[in-house]
Amino acid sequence: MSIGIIIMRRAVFLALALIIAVFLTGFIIGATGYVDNVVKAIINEEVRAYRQALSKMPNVNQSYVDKLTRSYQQMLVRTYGLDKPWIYRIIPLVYSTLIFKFGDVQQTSVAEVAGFQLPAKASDVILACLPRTIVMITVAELITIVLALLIAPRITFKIGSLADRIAVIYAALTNAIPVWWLALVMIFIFSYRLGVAPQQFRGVIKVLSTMSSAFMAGNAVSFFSSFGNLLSYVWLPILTIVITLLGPWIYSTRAMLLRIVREDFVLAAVARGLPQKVVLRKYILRPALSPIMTSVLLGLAGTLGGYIITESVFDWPGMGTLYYQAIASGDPATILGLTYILTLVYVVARFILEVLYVALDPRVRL
Amino acid sequence: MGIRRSILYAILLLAMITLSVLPIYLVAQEQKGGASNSITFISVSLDRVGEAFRAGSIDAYIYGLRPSQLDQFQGISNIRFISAPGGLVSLVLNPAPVKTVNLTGDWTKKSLDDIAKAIGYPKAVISQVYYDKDKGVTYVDLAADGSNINPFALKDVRYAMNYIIDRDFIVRNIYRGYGAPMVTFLSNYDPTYMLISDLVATFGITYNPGYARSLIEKALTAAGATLVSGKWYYAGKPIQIIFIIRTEDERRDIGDLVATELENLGFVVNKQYLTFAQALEIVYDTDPKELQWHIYTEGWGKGALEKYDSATPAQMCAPWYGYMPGWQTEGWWWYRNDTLDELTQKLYFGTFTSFEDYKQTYRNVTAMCMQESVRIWVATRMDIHVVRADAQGITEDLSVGLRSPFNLKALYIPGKPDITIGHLWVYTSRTIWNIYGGFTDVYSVDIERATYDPLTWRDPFNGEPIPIRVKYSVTTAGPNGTLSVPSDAIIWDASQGKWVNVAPGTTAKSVVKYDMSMFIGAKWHDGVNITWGDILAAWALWFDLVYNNSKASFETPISGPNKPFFDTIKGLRIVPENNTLEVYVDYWHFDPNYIADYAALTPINPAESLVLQNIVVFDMHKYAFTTDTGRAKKLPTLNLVLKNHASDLASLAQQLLAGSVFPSKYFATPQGTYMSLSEWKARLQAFINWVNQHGHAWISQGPYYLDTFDDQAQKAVIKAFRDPSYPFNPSYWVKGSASPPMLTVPATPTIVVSNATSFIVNIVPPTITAGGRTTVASGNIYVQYIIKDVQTGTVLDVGQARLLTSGATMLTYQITIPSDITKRMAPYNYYQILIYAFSEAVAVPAFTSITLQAQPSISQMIAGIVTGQVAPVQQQVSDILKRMQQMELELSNTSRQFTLLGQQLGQQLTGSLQQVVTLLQQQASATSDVAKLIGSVGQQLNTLAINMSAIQSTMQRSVSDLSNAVNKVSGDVIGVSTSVSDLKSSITELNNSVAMLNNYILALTALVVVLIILNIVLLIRVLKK
Repeated sequence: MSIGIIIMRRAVFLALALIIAVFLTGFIIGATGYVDNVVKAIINEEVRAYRQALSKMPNVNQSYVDKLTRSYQQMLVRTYGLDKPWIYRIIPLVYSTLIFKFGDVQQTSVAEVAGFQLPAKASDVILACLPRTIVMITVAELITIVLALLIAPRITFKIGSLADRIAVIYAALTNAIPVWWLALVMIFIFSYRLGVAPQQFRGVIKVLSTMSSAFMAGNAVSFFSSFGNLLSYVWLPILTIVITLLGPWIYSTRAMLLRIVREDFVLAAVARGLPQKVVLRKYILRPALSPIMTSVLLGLAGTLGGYIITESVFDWPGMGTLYYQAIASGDPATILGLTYILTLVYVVARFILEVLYVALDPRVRL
Repeated sequence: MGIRRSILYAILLLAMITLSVLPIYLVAQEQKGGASNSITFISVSLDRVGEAFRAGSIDAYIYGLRPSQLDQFQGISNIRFISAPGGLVSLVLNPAPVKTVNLTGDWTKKSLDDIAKAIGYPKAVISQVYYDKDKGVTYVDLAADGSNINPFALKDVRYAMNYIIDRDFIVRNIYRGYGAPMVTFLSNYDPTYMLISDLVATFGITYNPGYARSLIEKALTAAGATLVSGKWYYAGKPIQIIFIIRTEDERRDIGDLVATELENLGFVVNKQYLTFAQALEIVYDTDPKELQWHIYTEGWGKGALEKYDSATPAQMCAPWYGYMPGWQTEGWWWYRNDTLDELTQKLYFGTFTSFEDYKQTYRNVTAMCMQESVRIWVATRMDIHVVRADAQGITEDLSVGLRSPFNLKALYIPGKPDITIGHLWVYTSRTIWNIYGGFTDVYSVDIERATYDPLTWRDPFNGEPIPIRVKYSVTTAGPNGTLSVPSDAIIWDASQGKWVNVAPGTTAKSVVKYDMSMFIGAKWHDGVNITWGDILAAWALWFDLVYNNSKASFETPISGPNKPFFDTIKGLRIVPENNTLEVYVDYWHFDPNYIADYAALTPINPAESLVLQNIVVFDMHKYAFTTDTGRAKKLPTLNLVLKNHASDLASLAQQLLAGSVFPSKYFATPQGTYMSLSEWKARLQAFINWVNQHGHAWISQGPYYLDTFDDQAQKAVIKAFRDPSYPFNPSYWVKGSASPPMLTVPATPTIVVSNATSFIVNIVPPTITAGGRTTVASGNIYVQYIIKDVQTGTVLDVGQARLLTSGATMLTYQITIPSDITKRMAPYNYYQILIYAFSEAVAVPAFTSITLQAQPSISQMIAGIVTGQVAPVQQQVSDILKRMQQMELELSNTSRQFTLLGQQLGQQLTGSLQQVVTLLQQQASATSDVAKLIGSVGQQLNTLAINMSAIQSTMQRSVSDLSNAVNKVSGDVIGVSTSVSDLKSSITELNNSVAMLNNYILALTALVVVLIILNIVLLIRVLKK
């Protein structure tokens, strides 16, 4: 079988998985009545609030209050589409999402995450949140990976050395520390005590939106002039994430390399008296590349899901907050849109990996 | 010459400097507009407020903090906390039945016994009987049906819940003192509480689990439940209570506390700790009859301070309003109470006829609501705001604390003209700045209020409407009469789209005459003059929104709720000569300030802004005014602070300007036109300039103008509007702080059973301190007292104190507890006198309580002794009587003997004396000493005689007193008012007298012996010669 066919087969399989994932999500939130229940609760709450607001209006009598409340409720039911069964709402939404026509955000709280007011498209909301997550979490993860890949091989040959022990202890320690907790400590120290980081991180939203509009307009000057501003916001969150993630990354990379170090062919190479660098590059890194690339790519893809609590600590409403809010307030268009985008990224990462596997490891072709 | 010239120059220079600086100084002193030069609002999350103060990045924080969030301020000294009621906490109980039996026809008039017989269940389990007229069916709800029970369907069990809540503990420990206990839907922090406080106190609700246990035991046993080794069982199963406890705030601790009490009472409590959405899903979104919950820890936001709060009773007690279990959801079981529905509607819709009627209705609602106890009230919790300690211009608004517009307008920090205020948010997806459908969140409202002056507002200390940027007079013929509206009054005709004269014969209940001098001639923030055109356009556009079908149907969320108000506006009349606007209105309230407040429509935005807004919404359908319409029609909601929305308005203004489009209909009345085309164009141009300059379209008329609004950076800047035409200096807004009245009882009264008791209560009237000056707040002060039995909690008496004297700094009241009340007291029992002083000026009442032991009356003492030991006392009394008689006899004998002795002595003495005189004459020198002696003896004898007669009369009086007393005692035991102690003391006195008498007699005898010896000596001497 040619490489092209193998890759094509994988691609078709992944595309199917993507469609099924989105469809299943739609089915789950629709058929189980999840969205309907959440939306009904929201409608009831809004109707109660409306009735209470009416209490402040002068001279309205009871039947009039009832009439207004009823018509308000009907309006909300229509607006949220609850007058139609889920299948008529969710299934078309699944289809339109799959062809990148994301639906409208229904809930104010979801639009809130992006800083929008209704009406808003799910795609706009996602696109507003995605860069925030990328500049903070994805970049931090990337830096972590680079550092880990630089450090881990260096300690692979020095098992039990001081550096190795420090790395192991550091990994154990940071593995135990939640990112959001460290974030609180970092804000306390750098923002409030030392005053070198901003106290309010929400300003990053404005910087990013200025940058994105400059980017759209092709205004390179404005784009790069905002860059320094962006850095002033982003350095502390990135530092925080890097500190926490670096330990586990070094540790896992070290473990992957160690497994190979103990292989016979490495021992043979060492016994042959080959220089350490050559052994590392040719005999260890090459075979370790597949698993390392897997964790790198999937890890990077995973960052797009955002960190819910850490985002909240930094008041940095990214993808995590958006996902949480979309599920909590039962906003089908956003849930489907997010599922689609994140699955798509995962599927693409998987596809790239498949290609890399094929390229890197001849055994995979079979 | 040179020196002189130098001095002259120096003087001239000094004078020039002084003269040039002086005006600046004076202007600074009397500057118009806001107190600070600018205020920047930024967003600070709740957990970072302390750090933000520490870092000096904010000067005040106006989002309410909870007591538990105050720990972050430890170690920060230069701040102060200002608290105001932020919310209410209650427990809502699910009164749904476990079974409903249907009976044909109306059974509501029949007795419970009849119904019980008809349905075959005991009377004690019937929880609610409701007749559905449409279906002709009576629904009989049962709290227990033989296999299941809902204890909270039983009214007595619900009522008992009041006694298991330790509200003082909750306020003191859970709310760290930032709260007030509540036993009904209002608390001490509501001015309306004055109407019902005594009534509420009569319920005597305290933390008394023992009493709760007895109530519950009675009710549950009657319903068929059994108490086995401290646990309640029904149909062989333990009675389980599902308790939904919210976890986000102090309600978690409150829930735990109450759950423990319920467990102690013998219930199995299934605690479910849930967050907002999860809890609501169960409590409000399931049929109460499913009994998925029994108790829920509710939380409520606190509304504005309201002198006459007519909506809360409906909200918290009445089913019709939709806040009682069943929530008016079709197809679910509903808690019903027709009486509460009827009474609360009377309050809510203002169909009361007088203050007395209002008050009585309010009291009836309160009493019934407390008896029904579907909601058990726990506490009013305080929101805490933080401000730098050196901040000035603060009004301690009892309603909203630091968020009060009085504060935002007057707040400044000496030496820091630009201040920063933190809020939780500055902009959210619900933050809408437009006057028709926006301002539904606090973040927009708080900033907006600093930028405009309303016609009327609420007094920060008592919630009564007060004039702000207007003066008014109210004439009313209500509640039943009408005034005729003058024929030159105008009304907006939506069908023709113009102002017309009112129809002949139009009448209204009241008219409010607003003096608009502080608006007309002043300026909008963009420099345009405020004219009658603005006022007319504001009214016309509102009328059109409500009555013009195409507008009304487009924005039903606005037109619907506002129509009833505009229906009551019968006509407007402009009198430009004296800047008066007359509003004829079909509305009546016993407080004329409420009428003035009702009829007020403040011009907040200039006419051109309003017109532009209405065009983009109703003509262009490009925006909506409300988020509801926006969501339904997929339109953005018009938000004047957003740059792109403002730009749309500005480009529309540009189009109108270019096409000379002039909507003159809003400004032309049959009497005249109040806007010219040139003025209109100038206004549009000013509007465009404003948008270009500030990037938003919010133009108003208050002491601050909105300079910039940055939604993404969560930052808004307002700057002082220093226009000379602006009417107020910053000090106008400083209402200061109010001290509630102070109450002292200078002398603790003594209560003697059956005796009326009066005592004095001194009241220091409430004061208001502003700008370093303290003034006594005007308004009546009412002093009420309640007397309760400490042991049983029953209320013996409720009454008003009487004003005795009224001074400037002290008022003296007298409380008289009548004898028919003290008659009902038991001697040696403890009674509590609760005394409240309410002032009309400051809503916080003064309170004190005195606990006293009732003293028995003398008659009671004796009656007590008699009833206890009748025979011995009677014996004692008769013994005393006998002894008295004996003593009387002895006394008379003694006195007789004494008299006799005296006579004999006198005769002897006379004889002896004659002899002595003869002797003396014979032997003058020898006997002179003896003569003196004799003289003194004579004197002594005289004294003795006087004393003797005094003693005798005293004795006789005592004896007669005694005999009187004894007669009374023997005649009527209770009538022995001269007490036994009197008797005893009299006897002691008598004994003393007798003893004295004996002494005298002894002395006298000795004297006689001496005299006899003397006589013998004399005789011997005489004989010798």
